[in-house]
Amino acid sequence: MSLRKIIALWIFIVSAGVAIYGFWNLYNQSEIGYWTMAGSLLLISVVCYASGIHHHIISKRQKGLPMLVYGTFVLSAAALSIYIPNPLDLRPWEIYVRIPNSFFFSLFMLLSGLFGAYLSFRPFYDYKKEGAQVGAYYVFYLTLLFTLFPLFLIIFNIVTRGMGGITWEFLTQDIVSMGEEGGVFPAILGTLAMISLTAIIVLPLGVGTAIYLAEYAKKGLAVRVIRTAVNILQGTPSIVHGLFGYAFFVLILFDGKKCLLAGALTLAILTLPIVTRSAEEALNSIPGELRDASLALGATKWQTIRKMVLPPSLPGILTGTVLGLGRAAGETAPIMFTAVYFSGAGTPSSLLKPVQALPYHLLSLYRLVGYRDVEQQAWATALILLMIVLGINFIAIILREKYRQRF
Amino acid sequence: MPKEFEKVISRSSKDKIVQAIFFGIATFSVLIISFIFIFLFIRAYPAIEEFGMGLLSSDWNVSRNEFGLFPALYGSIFIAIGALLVSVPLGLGVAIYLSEIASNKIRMILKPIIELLAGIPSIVYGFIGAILLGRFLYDTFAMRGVNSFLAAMLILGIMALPIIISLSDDAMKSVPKDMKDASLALGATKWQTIRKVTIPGAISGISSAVIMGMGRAIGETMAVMLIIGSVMKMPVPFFNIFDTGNTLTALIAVHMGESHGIIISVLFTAGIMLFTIVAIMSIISDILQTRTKEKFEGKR
Amino acid sequence: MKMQKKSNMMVIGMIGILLVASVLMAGCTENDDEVQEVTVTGSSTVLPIAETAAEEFNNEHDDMQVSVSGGGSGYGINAIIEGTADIGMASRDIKQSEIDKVPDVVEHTVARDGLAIIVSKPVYDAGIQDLTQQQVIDIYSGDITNWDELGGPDEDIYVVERADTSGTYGTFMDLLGLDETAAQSTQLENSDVKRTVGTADYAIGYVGMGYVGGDTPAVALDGVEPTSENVAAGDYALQRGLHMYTDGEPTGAVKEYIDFVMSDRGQEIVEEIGFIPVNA
Repeated sequence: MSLRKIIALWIFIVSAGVAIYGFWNLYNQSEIGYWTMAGSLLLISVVCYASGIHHHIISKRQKGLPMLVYGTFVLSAAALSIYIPNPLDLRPWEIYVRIPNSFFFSLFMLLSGLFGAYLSFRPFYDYKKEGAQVGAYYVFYLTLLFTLFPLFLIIFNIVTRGMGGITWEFLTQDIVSMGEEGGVFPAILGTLAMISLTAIIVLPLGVGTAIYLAEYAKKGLAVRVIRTAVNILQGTPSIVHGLFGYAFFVLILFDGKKCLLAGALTLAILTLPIVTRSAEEALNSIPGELRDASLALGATKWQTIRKMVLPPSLPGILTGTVLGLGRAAGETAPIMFTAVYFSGAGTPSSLLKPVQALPYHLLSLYRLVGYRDVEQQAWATALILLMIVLGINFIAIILREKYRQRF
Repeated sequence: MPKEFEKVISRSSKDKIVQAIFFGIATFSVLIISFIFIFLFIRAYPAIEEFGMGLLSSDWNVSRNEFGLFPALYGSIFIAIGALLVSVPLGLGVAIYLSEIASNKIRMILKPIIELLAGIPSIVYGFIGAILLGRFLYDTFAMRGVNSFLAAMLILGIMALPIIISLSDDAMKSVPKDMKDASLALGATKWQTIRKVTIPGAISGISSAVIMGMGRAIGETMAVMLIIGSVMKMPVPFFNIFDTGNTLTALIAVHMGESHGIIISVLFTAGIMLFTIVAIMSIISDILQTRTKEKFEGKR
Repeated sequence: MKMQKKSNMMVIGMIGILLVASVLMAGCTENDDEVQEVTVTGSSTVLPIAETAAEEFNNEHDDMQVSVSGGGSGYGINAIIEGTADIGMASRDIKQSEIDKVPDVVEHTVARDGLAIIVSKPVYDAGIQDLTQQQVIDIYSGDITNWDELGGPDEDIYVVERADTSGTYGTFMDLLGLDETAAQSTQLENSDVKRTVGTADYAIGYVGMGYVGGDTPAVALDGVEPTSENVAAGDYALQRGLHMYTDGEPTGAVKEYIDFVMSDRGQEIVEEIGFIPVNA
């Protein structure tokens, strides 16, 4: 290994270390002093200088310049940051925050560390274009890391904080004294009943629409309009679905009473575009020869669809439906004006009565945090909701992976 | 012969009936969209009739019968822009990684994980955002309260990630492999190919992804409602991410349960605004998406 | 052929799921018409009373089922106007414009309540334990923005209010003669205000008396503590009646339930939750 590579590796390790340390402090909100930060940045600038000088003088290359510039930049940033008042008080400008130095220092360390590590790839690959490529890859890995971090954080927190609240009683009892005691049994049943009903309503509509789009009419004005409608429906905010469900189903169809059926109908509208799109995709994935063969044998179009196209595309359709139901199970806004009560609805007993549901239960419990002793129950509810929704998603993903490579 | 002929006719006419039935089902989506608009409008009409352009002012005071929705409209767009600043760089990075760099095996693992991110219910995001993130920002910046635009932007940024990732991933995948191979064969590195061929080729698909992400952020309700503070005022100064404010969605969700009469009507007006904005975004994004597809259709 | 079989299995499985779902639903509808349903909705301040009373009531009566939901005073009264609930709860008096829409409305005042001014614990501990009405007005109108103007710590005041469509908001503003506020946070329900004030360090808010305590101590107003005695005696300025409204004189299960709330046991519940019984 050449000295150039050793120096580059050295820059990477020092920079990454500083970045990780900065991130750690940022996350833990720990107080870090000026000298810790300045020392870390000094370390980065020293390794950068070493690399720059090595290339500039010993290898007689001009390409060490970025390293020298960056080293100087980091050094001056460290030097100048002593002038940042502690805390930085923005209140004179009506912005009511006071940002402590440790926040800036941790952020400095994180950013300059990340950038320093990025720079180290160029000397490592002898300033060839592979270096730029590896540097770019490194940036992508970072974005992936920053994307997965919140996911991890959310799941970790919900699982660790929610586990303690999950007992047999919590899973099997009705809510007692505003959630402080008892459990979420009717809410679990309510959510399951609601999505089963949603499935029954949405399947024929979604699959029917998909069959029309995929099998009967591929082009033309009607198809364009239908497609646009499906797209708009897919983007429609869930609160708008809730408003519509209230204005149409509750007020007009059900005489002003919230009920299970109104909620399921609203959720069916919400899931319709998801089911339609995935069903269309599934139908389109069936090779055209199958249809041609069937038609050539004298079968009608409908026979072909029923016997040849629909059966093999069922797994795909089911996947889409299950994914849609996963979304429906977690939605709060569409059902809160149309179907749910916090308590007293009991186990779902009729289509025309209100139910309890997990997402709304979580919202209601969160509202009571601080007033009633329900934070533990709220975390446990979040965990159960998450398990149900992710479980449904998981089933869908497994279904899809299993049947993906069929044609 | 005639009997056979009859059979054929009856079979094909039966087929016609089946087709008509499916057409009927397919028009359902169109019907629903028009129903949503009509019923929202019927409920909103009293407010529109009574206040007119006053609904777009920034004065909101229930006791004085002033219902200016501008602060909520501003808040919705402000938060969406902030959320995009978080999610576009991250989302594009991950999408490029997924579509161009990752091996098939890693892709098979990562895609479902990112779908899980999309699967987490928004109320859970809101709960986490309010309890953990809000508190974290409160402590870090010594804010006055745990609610802020910043917290909402960060949470919505995370929530918009999956849709941006999957749509731009699709867009980049739709750039024909021949074009990429040609670039590689000319001696370009993979990164140069991504920069010079894939991204420019997929740019309209990527913009469609960004618009969809923005639509998602504007339409998000539960998470925002628990984080934003729901107070009907503009942030002061207008770019102050540490202040509290309101969005159209949070306005509806918070006040719907407490309201009656004309205020409900005002909330339905907010619903129409929301629906219109997001519908326009869906249409634009749709046009951009078909454009990407059509662009490469001929070259396949 | 094998593929065909698999998809047939899928169809059967799907039909099975649907069947189970529909059986589940149908099976539950059996003992339907024997139970008398009572729906109660409205003010979140009255909610704990209705809720706790309903739990006990439902345990005692197998043939009646009371379900309670929140939504706010306006919503509760509107539910009576539109006939969407049997009982509407409100933490403010019904307005004349609303009476015009339900001329037969009957008011059942189930409890009295004081509106307590709560502050974050650090503020209370720093000595802010008594405010005058004028000071509260100044804070809410934005004339006082820092606790040190009131002898507290040099920290900005985080002003929390209820949603301006709520009954509590209306009562608060009416009682103090305020027209608009300079609040930084609008919260839907009492518990939301309590949580918001409790999680911040330098906040102020107002809630029904049942919500005082813990992280959010109440300050005295003009030297009068918001206690049951002071409210019952009429000494505490910010107070109001908590009502249940019905369209016409209640009958059947609705009457039974309201009678239960007004009974000695019902009023005990009122007291346990922290409100002032009406028959005291």
